[in-house]
Amino acid sequence: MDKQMERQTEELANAYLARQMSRRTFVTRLLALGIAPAAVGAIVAACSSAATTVPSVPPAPSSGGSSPAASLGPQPSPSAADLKGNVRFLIGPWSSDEVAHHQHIAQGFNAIYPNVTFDFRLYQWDTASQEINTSLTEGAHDIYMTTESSYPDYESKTGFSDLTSKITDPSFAGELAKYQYMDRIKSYGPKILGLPISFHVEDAMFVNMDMVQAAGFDEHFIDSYPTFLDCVTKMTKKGQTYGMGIGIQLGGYAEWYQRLRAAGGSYLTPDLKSPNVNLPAVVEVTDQMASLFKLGIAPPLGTYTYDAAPAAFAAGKMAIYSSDLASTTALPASVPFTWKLLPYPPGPVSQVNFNDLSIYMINSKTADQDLAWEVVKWWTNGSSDAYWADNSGTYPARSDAATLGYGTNSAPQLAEALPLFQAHAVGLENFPQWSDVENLAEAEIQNCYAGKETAAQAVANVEKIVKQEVGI
Amino acid sequence: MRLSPGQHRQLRRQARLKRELTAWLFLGPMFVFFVVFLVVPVVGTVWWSTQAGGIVGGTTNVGLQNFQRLPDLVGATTAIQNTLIFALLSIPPILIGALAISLVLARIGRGAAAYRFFVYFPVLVPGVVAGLIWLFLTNVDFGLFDNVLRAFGVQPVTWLGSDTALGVLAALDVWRNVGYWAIFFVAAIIGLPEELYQAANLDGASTAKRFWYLTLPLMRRILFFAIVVSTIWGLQVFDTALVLTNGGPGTATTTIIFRVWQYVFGTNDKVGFAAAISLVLIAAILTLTLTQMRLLRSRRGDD
Repeated sequence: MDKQMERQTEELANAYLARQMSRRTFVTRLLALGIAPAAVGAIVAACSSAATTVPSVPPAPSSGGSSPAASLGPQPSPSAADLKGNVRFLIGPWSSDEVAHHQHIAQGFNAIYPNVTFDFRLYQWDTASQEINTSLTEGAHDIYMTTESSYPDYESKTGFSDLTSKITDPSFAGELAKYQYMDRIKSYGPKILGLPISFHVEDAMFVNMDMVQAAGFDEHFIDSYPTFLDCVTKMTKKGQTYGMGIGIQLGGYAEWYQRLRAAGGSYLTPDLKSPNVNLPAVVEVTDQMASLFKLGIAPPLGTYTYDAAPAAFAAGKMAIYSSDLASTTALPASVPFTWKLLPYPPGPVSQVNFNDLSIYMINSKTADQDLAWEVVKWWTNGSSDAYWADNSGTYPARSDAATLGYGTNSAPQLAEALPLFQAHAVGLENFPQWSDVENLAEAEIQNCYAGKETAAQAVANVEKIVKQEVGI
Repeated sequence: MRLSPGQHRQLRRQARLKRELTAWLFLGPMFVFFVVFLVVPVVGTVWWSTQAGGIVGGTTNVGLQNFQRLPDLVGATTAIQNTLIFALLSIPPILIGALAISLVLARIGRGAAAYRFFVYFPVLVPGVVAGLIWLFLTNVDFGLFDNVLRAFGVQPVTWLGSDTALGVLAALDVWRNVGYWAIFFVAAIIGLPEELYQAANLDGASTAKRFWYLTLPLMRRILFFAIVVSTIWGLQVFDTALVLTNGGPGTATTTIIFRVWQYVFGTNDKVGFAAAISLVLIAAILTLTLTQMRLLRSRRGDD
């Protein structure tokens, strides 16, 4: 039995155990999957005994907010006949086969609920918030894959459905405990707008370890900034290889931000009342990044686009390049050198790795909210999350994903690097204009990389941007 | 049968009414489109410019605050500067190039239609597609431009770098629009009175003198029209900046309309701000156009 069939069987078994389908339907669906009748008999027998001996799902370790009702078992779901309609998704292009991955998840859903159809439309990362906002206004889609960066903004508005009552329903508590980052979502405000699907590192270093070793270093070159600088300088070969590619990730998203945090700064002070950008240490780290361009260590801005960078890295044109983990899906299957994923070196105050979550949310204009909720639950269950994250170059949000197939297709470097990324993880700040500030700030800082502003001027301008956007 | 003067007047009134009704019937659809797609959006923009809030959430009236905040906006000067530099880099080559091409095209007899089609072809390419084509042309590793440079032993150039990206955008604009104006000018040249050129030939005028003293003055009105329209288009550059460079690197290709777009969709609660920028741009374009038209009128007086 291959992994895909295994997952579908498990999904069907879960649905059968949750009494979402009759024994007859369960058998029919298993046979339709192409499983031999003898094997079907064995599975049904196993499930039947499980159903009599395990009446509830035990509560998983919770990161907070666990309810005593967690042992009540899965929330009762509607029968197959009850759910019908068309669900329209607006999703991010994580990999080149993004729609196919969702169609695969939809097949599992349709195995239980055959009367539901799906449309999948991709937005572009550059214009994600524009497309989502427009679609929300028009009621053009039902379910959205959003990123955490805009969550504080969504929290302050009414475009997305408030799912608090559904998510905190005692009957959902058992499942809820398997979502690892719910505390983070809850921290943004009173409403809970969605369920997480991934934990994503936005600016990791893709490191050619052969070049690092040839320069006389090992993976600990990231332990301090001077060692890092020494290493990237030695790896730079004029006309052949750049030591460190930065400013390539879309608009440099969060690249400078994590250095700002590593220097002890942030866009706003913890009380969110005043800017916290224009600090000497922040100017220092900005200058450090700009000097990579001045010294010819980083390729001039505009040399490599986000889409072209993985191929350039694989071709040895950059010894290290900074990008989000989804780039792992764009790297050629066999790269002629050993590579690793590593976090950025420490700043003057701490070592910081910026990450954000991807979250499924429902349009408040969607007519059939219950159908959308059933779909969101399916898309974020352990099997679906494991399958999707495994093919998208990101980490699943579900604690049970690791036992449900995550790691089958993804680059092994991802799993290896997770502890490092988690150790230095920093998320965004909780104010609605965070993503606006971030977009404008990274562009301003890139002017400094291009030599059009000094680090001090760029940092001062970012502080002005914070004041203007937040209205301080 | 003789009609009384009163009956004559009535008939004349009826005929005039019928003519006017027919005219309004034909004008009606255009008028409706004009109101729905121009007047209403402009009025809407004026309303939005006095509001704080976005298209998803609610709005509140803030009077002229959006306009008052414009001068302090980080990057406002850069956006204006980029737009003006883009217009200066693109408009003169477009018009001079179009005029040169049109002079050649007007002389071609056999196969003229094919040549005109090839010249006009880039105009048919949508801005987004044009952006993608140029993305490939300017790629540092495998783009055509750098491959040509390498063939001549010249170091490859980062075409979409912070110092060159705006120039590339302008070049793309020239590539896309030169054909449009060339065909426009060809039509004008073909319509110029032949007898004047015959007379100039008899007087022994050289080709350059015929161009300088006949073609250019005779085409003055159409040239002024081209200057006005291409200036308006040049100040509205957006689609190619979005696809080719996304306003970057940094803010190197962030134009005024790009900032408007950012504020409408990319940020929260800033539609009013975008509307204020739009109105300022409309006012600037209107002033520029009126100035150009005034210049045109004074030149007409000289004719």
